[in-house]
Amino acid sequence: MSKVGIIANPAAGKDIRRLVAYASLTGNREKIDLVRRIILGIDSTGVDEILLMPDYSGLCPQALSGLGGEKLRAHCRILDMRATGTQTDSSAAMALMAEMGAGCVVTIGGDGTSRAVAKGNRDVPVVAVSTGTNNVFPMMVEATVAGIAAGVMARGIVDEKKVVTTHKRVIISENGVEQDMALIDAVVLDQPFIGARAVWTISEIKEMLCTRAQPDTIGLSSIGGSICTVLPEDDCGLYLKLGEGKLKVRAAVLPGVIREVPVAEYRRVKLGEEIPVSQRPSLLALDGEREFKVSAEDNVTMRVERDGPRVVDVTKAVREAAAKGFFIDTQKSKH
Amino acid sequence: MKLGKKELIMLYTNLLRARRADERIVKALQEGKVVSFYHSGQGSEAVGVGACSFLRNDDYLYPHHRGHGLAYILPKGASMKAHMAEHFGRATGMAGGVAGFHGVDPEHGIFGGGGTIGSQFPVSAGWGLGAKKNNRGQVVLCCFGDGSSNRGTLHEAMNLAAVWKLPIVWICENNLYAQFMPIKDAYPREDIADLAHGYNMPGVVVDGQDVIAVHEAVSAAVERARNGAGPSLIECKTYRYRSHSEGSADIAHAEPRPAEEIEAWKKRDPIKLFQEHLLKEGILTTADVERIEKEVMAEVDEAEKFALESPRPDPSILPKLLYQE
Repeated sequence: MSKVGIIANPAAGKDIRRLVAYASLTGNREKIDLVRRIILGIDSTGVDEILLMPDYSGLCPQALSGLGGEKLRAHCRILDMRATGTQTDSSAAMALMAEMGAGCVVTIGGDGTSRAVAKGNRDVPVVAVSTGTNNVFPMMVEATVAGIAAGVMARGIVDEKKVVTTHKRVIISENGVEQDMALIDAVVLDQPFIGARAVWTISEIKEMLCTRAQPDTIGLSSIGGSICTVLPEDDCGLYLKLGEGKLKVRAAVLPGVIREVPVAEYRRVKLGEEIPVSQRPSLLALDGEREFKVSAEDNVTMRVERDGPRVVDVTKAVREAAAKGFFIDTQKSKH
Repeated sequence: MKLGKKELIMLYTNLLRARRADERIVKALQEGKVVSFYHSGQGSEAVGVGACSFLRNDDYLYPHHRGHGLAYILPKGASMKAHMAEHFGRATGMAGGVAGFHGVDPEHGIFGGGGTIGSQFPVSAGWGLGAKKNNRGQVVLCCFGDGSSNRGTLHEAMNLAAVWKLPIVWICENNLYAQFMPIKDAYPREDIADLAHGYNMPGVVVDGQDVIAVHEAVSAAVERARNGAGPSLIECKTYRYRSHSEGSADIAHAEPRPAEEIEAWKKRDPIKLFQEHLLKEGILTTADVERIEKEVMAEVDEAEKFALESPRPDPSILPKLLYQE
């Protein structure tokens, strides 16, 4: 039985970056439309069951109720779990979907949502659709196509080896024990409050470790990307120490916000290389959100490993399916 | 604005002032000392305190009605004594003891409120127009609840404010209930901030139990408004611990509000959360916590004493309140 999960984060795309930068507000109406198109895309591939994460906003029930005359072949099931309205919902839903045998999960949100999902399970392949603000991990992709890609993946139409790659992650350890993770960047801040979560005061950033750094993406990792490109497929990370010294770079640190950032030091780091957090006490922002407190006493380290989520390349997946003739109806086609 | 120790302790003290004054008014009401009725604001103090602790005196404030504005007006500079006296029906009150809870303090940009839910929106738009014409960088904070966010006045005012780029920060204290109506049964959307889309302004959602989160969002919106970039909408997700008003049933529709829901929110009490954080960071010591508690209680005691010892309003002033001589 083929199953695809959908995790739509109702909180994505509404944080303070609408005020301190020029990020778009992503309303729930838009997310409902996205879920609807994803469902229809998945359904078109003949998947048996679509698993949906419940949430306070009722994104998925509303998406289903608005399908009107569209009769779905797939059975749609809202997970039997209690929503808390926090990011742990996404983690719990992913864990449950993995347990229920989902062959692929579509996520709707930004880097923060993708990180929460990865905390639930990193084995089930994901199609990450972008709606948040710091979007390096999820893709800007039409939701219908994302649904189709997830469907052909879950049904085994396409060869997993050809379309799925394992992403890197930054692992945060405290006194030798893994405590948290980031998919794109872990940033050490000289400030104690989680507050509104986002990071916009560049002078507070002391150091950072990125799994990837590209000048063509938005967010804090683009600071590294402006000097030294590290791609998802490169088996290394990039460490930066900010402050007066070596370079001054311009980087698109937030939507519409390009800042000149002083970089004192930068270097590529090997997978598994432990980087101690030198600023203590401090606060770590993980994938753009203030999250993890570092006390003066604890020994906190960061390292990059290639054991992150398994990511479906949407373009490759649908092209591979097309090349195999999946979209051609042999009975109705003239030969 | 980076907050130093002094500012952080001021935020904490303001949270405590709002809570303890609220508790005292509830007690006084139960003892028959309070003339007006009361809408307690316990549980949602971080919204007002985070929003109003760093405003300018000449910024305009239309406070939320919970706590009859306590968490908003005390940080803005209003007197606890005058707030208390108003509720005790005394001539020294914020509106001379005749308005119950629509307190006035022009020196601090507080010009009372309306009893009609939703009346704050057009008034605030007017203040916003005045602030823009004054050209002194004044900002208007218009505070409202989820219950008033479906009033027609909100939409008219937000539209006009956006068209004219008025320096207004719309702050929604979403405590999930409009009197007895759960928000999920009254709105087609989860987030009131989504309304911002329709009026071409930024809209954000913040944790209303986190005074720093509220402060950061409101400060950014205030700065934006002062710089001429126009209005913003900030939705603070919060909760009220007590019933809609003292004496009214604590219900959702016709059933009691779920006890587990109330308990869950109390675990994220804004004062407790902030106190724990300040202790952990070494900004406060337990001795500081005890000292601040004593100081705040002394202020509350003094305010109540002041109210009780103040004279009642002279009935002969009533015509003057309505007609110009």
